[in-house]
Amino acid sequence: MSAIYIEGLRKSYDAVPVLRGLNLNVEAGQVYGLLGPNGAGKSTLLHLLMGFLRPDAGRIEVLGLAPSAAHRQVGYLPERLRYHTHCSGREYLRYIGRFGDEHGPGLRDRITALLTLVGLEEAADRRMKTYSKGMLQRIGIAQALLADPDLLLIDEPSSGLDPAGQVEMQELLVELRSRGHTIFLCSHQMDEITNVCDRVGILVRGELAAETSVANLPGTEGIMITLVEIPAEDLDYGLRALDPLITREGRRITIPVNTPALQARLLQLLLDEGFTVATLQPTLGTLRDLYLHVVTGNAAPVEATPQVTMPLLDTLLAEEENQ
Amino acid sequence: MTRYRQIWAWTRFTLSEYLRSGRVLIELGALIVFAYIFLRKPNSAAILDATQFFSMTAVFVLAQSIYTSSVLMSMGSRAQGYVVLARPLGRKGYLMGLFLVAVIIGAINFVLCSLIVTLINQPIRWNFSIWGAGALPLILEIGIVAALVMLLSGLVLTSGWRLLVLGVVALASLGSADIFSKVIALDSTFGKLLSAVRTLVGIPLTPLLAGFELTTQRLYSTQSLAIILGQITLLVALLAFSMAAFDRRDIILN
Repeated sequence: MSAIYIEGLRKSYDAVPVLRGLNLNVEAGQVYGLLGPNGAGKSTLLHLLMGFLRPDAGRIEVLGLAPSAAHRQVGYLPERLRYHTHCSGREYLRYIGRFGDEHGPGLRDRITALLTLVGLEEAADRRMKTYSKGMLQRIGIAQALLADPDLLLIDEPSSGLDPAGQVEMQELLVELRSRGHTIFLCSHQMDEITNVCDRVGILVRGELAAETSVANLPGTEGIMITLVEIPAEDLDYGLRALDPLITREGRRITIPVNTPALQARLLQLLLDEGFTVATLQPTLGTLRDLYLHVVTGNAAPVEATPQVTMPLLDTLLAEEENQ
Repeated sequence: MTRYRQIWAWTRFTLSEYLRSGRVLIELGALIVFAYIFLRKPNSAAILDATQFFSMTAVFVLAQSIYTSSVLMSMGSRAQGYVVLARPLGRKGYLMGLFLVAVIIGAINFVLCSLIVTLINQPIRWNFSIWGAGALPLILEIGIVAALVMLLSGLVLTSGWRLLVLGVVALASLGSADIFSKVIALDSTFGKLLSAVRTLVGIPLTPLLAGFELTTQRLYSTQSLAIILGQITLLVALLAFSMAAFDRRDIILN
């Protein structure tokens, strides 16, 4: 069953398109991470999923319902979480619970349990204006969990936190994952995505430019080519023309995110320029490499990150053996 | 019942935030100044009657309601609202809570004015039924003003619609004012057309103006009942229009 189903979603602000025919599917029980540069449309997407914004076109289903009908089953942590800081953490959670018609001893016990989960039991009765940013984010997670939702929509939970706060937040997200929540997480933190999520998508200019399983990420991309001789700097222009992310240090040329077509074009260029390839090795790619590659606009939308394939390697080695 | 409990919880929360934020001090300050200037007994011979009290207090309380409602709408437009809107309370409940707080504060203002005048300068022939006769239409007026300010806020209507509604209100408010007759010949085609439009758009605001008159005069008859019903109808219509508009628009809070 899909927790989130999006088909052909379009949204513009004053005729400026933000989402351009987005398709996305998040299965129930999955932890899905959405990456993307600022302005890619991540927060807009979350606001559409919450029903705060109305789509211009397309279809959105949240837990099989229209977004605004699913509020009872959805927990939401906004990106810029501002609070009604005049009250204490416990008091705030009590009110938030009552806006969903939760009350009585059940709500009291749930608040106590959530304050313990997010590590705020000692600060629970302090006014929230005395809380650090990390504490405010944790109370934000607690309010999102109040109704024991089936789906959590979390927008940049580590935004503005110091490294210790980021680690704490990550641990909390891992804990939520272990409790079986379906989570849709927008983030800029690569570590957070790789440590917490099952699947990751990269949103660029309102389209899903790449999507892959996090388990597939290590060892998927990249090759390093070592040449016999050190090339002149002129070669760098040719390399950059092929792909701006190709780098050269001395005789070593690296493609951070490899595709068969790019690999073939690079080898063709080297052969045309008369270079001899000494070695060709696969390299371990990272989510960061994939992200940078996709965001700089050199990747066509892909269904999944391609496994490293090197069809020309065998040919090259055979040619070398013949020579 | 569930929905009412949610709205009431949101109303109490907003009211407590309004009070704790200190914004209410502005209202209290204005109330003290108003009471000192208009409600105190300037000399031992001065006499205040109920009509004078209601005429002054209605203007003051309605002006304060415009301020309170504006502040509440700006409070409702802050990013804090996303967490509240994400709850089952929903958009309609959110707006209704803000409206109720504006009405409660307006009503408290009026009650405080009444208490002050009773204590320091009791009007002649002042009793509970005279007070109630003026209080009922005045509290409905507070509701209408709060609903109108809510409708005209950036939270509810886009700027284009706000301009249109403001234009209609301005045209209707001119009513029988002779401003047009000085610049436009009323017997010309344009003058007749404008007059017709003015009459038409003025109809919905009639209960507001008549309600104010009923507050100050308190002369109850069958017609007064129609005025009260008209006020209630206008209030419900404004709330329904606000909620329908808010339900359809994109919510972008800052």
